[in-house]
Amino acid sequence: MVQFEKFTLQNGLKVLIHNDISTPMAVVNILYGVGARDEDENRTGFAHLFEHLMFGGSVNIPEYDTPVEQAGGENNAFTNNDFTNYYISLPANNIETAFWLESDRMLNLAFSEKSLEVQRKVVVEEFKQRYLNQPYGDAWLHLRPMAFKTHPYKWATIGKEIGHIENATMDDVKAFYSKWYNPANAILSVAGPLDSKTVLPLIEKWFGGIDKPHSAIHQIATEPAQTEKRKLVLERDVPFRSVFKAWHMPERNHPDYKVCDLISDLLSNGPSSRLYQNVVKKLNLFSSLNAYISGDFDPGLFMIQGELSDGQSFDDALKAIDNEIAEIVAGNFSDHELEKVKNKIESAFEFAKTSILNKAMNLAIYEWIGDAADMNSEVEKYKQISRNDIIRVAKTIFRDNNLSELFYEPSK
Amino acid sequence: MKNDIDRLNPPTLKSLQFDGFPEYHSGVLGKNIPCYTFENNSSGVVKLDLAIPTGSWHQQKPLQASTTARMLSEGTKSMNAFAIAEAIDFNGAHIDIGASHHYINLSIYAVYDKLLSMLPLIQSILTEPSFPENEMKTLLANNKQDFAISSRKVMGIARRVFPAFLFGENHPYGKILKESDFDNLAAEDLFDFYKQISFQESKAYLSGHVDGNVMSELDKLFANPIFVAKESFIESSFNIEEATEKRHYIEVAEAVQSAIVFGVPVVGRKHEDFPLLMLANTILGGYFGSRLMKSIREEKGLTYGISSGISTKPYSAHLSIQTEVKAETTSIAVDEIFKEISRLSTKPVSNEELNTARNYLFGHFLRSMDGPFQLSDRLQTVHPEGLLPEIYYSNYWNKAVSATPDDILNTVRKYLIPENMHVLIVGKDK
Repeated sequence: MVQFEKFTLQNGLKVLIHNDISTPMAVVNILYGVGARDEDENRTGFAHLFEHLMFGGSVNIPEYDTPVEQAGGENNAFTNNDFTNYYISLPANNIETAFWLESDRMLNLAFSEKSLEVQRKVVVEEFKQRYLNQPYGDAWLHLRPMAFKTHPYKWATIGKEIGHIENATMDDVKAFYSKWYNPANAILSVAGPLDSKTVLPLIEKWFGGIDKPHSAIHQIATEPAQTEKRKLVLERDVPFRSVFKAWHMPERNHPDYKVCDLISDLLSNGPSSRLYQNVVKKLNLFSSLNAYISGDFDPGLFMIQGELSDGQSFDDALKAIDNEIAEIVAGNFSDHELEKVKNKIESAFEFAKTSILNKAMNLAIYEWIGDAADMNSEVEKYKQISRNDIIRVAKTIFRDNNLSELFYEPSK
Repeated sequence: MKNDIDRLNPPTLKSLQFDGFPEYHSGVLGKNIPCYTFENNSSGVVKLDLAIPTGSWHQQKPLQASTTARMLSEGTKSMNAFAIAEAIDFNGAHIDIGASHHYINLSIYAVYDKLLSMLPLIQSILTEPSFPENEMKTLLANNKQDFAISSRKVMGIARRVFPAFLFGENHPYGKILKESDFDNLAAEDLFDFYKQISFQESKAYLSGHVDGNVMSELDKLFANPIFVAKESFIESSFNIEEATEKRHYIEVAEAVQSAIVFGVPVVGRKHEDFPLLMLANTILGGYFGSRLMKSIREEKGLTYGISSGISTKPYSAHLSIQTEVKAETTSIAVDEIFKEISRLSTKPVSNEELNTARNYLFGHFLRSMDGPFQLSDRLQTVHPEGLLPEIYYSNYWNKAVSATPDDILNTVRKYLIPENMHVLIVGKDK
């Protein structure tokens, strides 16, 4: 159980405070409810580029990182399709420094031309490092537009193409900031050896006066149901054949989301899982093979992805995956096996609770999804999933007309 | 009222304190296996680590140590690979087994009341492995493919070959793995290596929520004959043969980024200069506000990231710098890195810059000791070098507290000599 208190400031900023006396450290986490799905199709990669600019100085503080480091802290951020998350981990007695810094960049940025110019280049290099300069790196750049035709998940968080990042202007930056970076579109969470009596007045002091109304709403195109199987073969200079299979699955708040998560665990969580034991070890068809869910807020993807063992054919490899899926759909798994994957979920939640960074971040994410308190009932909800749920959902998801397949064929 | 806040005036910073390495319990399990315990029942989880002092240093063939270690959980006389995997997963536990140059390390993570039921399995994989040939073939074939994929990445290639320049290919630290090495191992090699493992010299580390019955069961586990055998063996020694040529280049024609690695031998934790070296490294490339990050990323935008770090091993230590840069600006980046090193060796850093780096380093230090798992890791960091944590960590802190800009200047001049630096480029030399 992660105990916490929840408050909402007058300006709409939501605050979650978790008191953990076992540590001298504290984490301050801020989630802004904007991600790549909120971008204009002709200016993709913007939410992420903007995250970089958040470190380029704010209205009263020329440099963001130095004061964090002087306080003995570490900070970082990430952007995904759905939201952008910033955090600072520092000695608890310096926590006010974190509030000072975060509130100033919520108040207003410095909007330095130099920072924009440099960060455009940095993000272009990030794009090359992650997506272009390694084998299979461009998989998601092709998979997304194949699986999604209208929903903005069709482009990657880093952006659809390098040109979009290179062409971002200061006007774009300012408009994006004033549209999304407002207290009522943010969730602040704190974890550390501090109670709300100590922390809340400090939060009031630094954030309470930020008077910026928020009116933007998410305008997200819904993805129409897929009606036929999609397929793309990429010939690339890669060492081995590789396959990515993607089926549409329900959104984060749908009860069947967790069922999909458990199906992916039956298939590939841990050394005893089906894909690893049967397809990797017994049949030696793949050198690595994984099933996972994309974890998106809107309806996302159920993925199976692997590299074929040297010399194996796509036909045999795909047949083996189909067999494993057919077993799930036919209900050929034991209650013991279902209990096993639930045990693994429970254990993973226990381990996540040992880190204040995890706790602070998860409180904010659960609050953004719906309610931070759901974090504490999550394991129980997984435990209630029945074998019939698994079979029913597997039947719905694993249909060929719900599937997109991406193949890498080594060029000779 | 809201307008009263003075945002130009930052909150006062409290200075960072280290109250000494926290107390832990040391005992002996079985006949002579030391066990170090950080008990903290505020969490519901536990970690057991076993450090067995036999590694690739002691192997006769490439991959012999790591494959033996990895294969311990792939079949025993009483359990096959699936039964082992099934028991681990059903208990919601996680096991890591691997080999480094000097150790085989086994770690088990579990919810605290599950560790007890895992101990018979641990006993089986340590005392009666069967090294099934078919499992080994699969493991090696899959590892070979991972190796082939990482050989298509510029940084993958760079990390693999770089140590050979510092230590020579005949030294265990400098050996370059080849794809064919994955084809040349037989089950007998694993049995041979297994016989060499110094189980009797192991150390155990227990951290987190410790169940009352666990200690007595661990005591029984370590009473097993493999942990009490008295056979001692002589550690082989190897000569370090550093390459005389300092500039190295591997062309990758299609690369859009080049990997750059700099490296130079330095001193390790036992040397009194080590804390100063850590500070110098922090200032050079050890954090976001470092000279290299500011110059190569934040001013010039040549890379997504650049960092430097110090790696210490029982018989050597070296400082290295790593980055992946825009291919067209590879030589500019190399020049800029040299410029930053020489800038650090010609002019003392300001007190402000030193203090920022020191506070960052101290915050990092305190975070690395936050919680029982981390404390256990800190013991395991210093034990291989024969250091006592309660003395080492306080000395380190105190030496870093009193470091001056001149100390940093002298340390850089002493260890980061540009002519001694090996530089490797993988990609394009433009």
